[in-house]
Amino acid sequence: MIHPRQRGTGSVAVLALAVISTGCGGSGSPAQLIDGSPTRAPVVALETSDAQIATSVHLVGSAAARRSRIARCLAGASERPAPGSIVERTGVDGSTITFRTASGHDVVACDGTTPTHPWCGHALGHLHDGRLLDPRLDLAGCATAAGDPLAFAWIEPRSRARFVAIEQGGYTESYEVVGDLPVRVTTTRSIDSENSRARFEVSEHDANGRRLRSYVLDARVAG
Amino acid sequence: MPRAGSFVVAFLMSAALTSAGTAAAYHTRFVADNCNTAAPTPTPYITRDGSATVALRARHEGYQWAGGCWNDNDRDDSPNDPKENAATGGEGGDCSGFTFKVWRESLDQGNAGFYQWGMLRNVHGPYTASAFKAGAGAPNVTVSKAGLLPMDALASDSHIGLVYATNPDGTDQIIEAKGEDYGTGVWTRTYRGSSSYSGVRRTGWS
Repeated sequence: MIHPRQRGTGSVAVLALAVISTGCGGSGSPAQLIDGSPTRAPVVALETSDAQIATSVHLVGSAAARRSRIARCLAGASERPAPGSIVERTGVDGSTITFRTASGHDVVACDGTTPTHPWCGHALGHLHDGRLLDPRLDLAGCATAAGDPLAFAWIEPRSRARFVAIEQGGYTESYEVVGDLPVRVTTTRSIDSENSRARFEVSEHDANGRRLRSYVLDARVAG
Repeated sequence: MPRAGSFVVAFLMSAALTSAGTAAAYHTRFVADNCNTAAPTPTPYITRDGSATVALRARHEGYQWAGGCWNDNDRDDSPNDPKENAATGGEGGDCSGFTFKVWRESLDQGNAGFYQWGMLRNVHGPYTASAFKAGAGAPNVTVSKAGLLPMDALASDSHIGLVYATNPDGTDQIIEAKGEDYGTGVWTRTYRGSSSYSGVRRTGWS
């Protein structure tokens, strides 16, 4: 469920503030992604007020798909991926694989933490007219190194959106939209284990970083 | 009727029809009017027969995506909900919410104890069908499909059903929350023969 929160305005002042405040590794922003690589600012500064961290993203080729970790993800799925549809993401707290199945009916995710650990969660979403009806929240199985719960969900950005930003409390993680696939995002915030749901504070941005829309995704474990 | 009046009537009718056909506008009052947030009752043990009884109370009730609340009047009190919409507030569990309740599990994934949830307690639990399939959570383990016992489960990445009984020809009767079009019930299924499905067991039965 999406709750409109605030419309993007394209304010130059806000964009300037975002650029100034983009300083990874300082003032509480994490210094590393989950794979140990240093965090960096997004190539395109997004129109948000927080410090920004770019998550890494790769469109996985057929050779890379044979790497053991990705291969284990693909082996666990009941259907093969469509050619050129495998996207690998690495953020501050989680790493994911997302791919569209060869039939085009579903998308599949493998959710994990560090590259040295096996995948700790999986998700399958049915596509209806090419889109998901549900974000397929995954709360089971994955936790941070400190043992805190970790939530994964898909965001379906609008067609003009090139970046999705998730507010993480003091900083924002930026996810580049790749391959016409939903974007698998991660958070440790606003997880309600008692009710098996999680809230994601989302903004979508165009190729210049301008905010297109902001909303809260209220995702529930289902199906 | 004056032209302006006709336009207003046409506009209102159009708006009403548009609203009626929009999934986002759909909701029932079932959860709001009937369900609760009561704490579960810890129990010292569970039996397979006892869990079958719990499961049968949900039979003929509805199906609700992300849901977990039903009564026992043998009808779906919120039929024809839009699919995969967690906000419709209808009666029933979905497949994984139904399994969570029937297996009397804890919201704490590290707790393998037994918790009796009331029928009208609206709870889904932390596991999707895919998580059950992987044996996620302290109470759940994967097992060979050949060795399944009554009230063990067959789970895929998109569905989970419980083995209720075996037919004379060896096929399974599965009790499951199947979908909006079917509700919750017992049907003969061939999940065991599908490579998409794995065997899952809740541990600790007496």
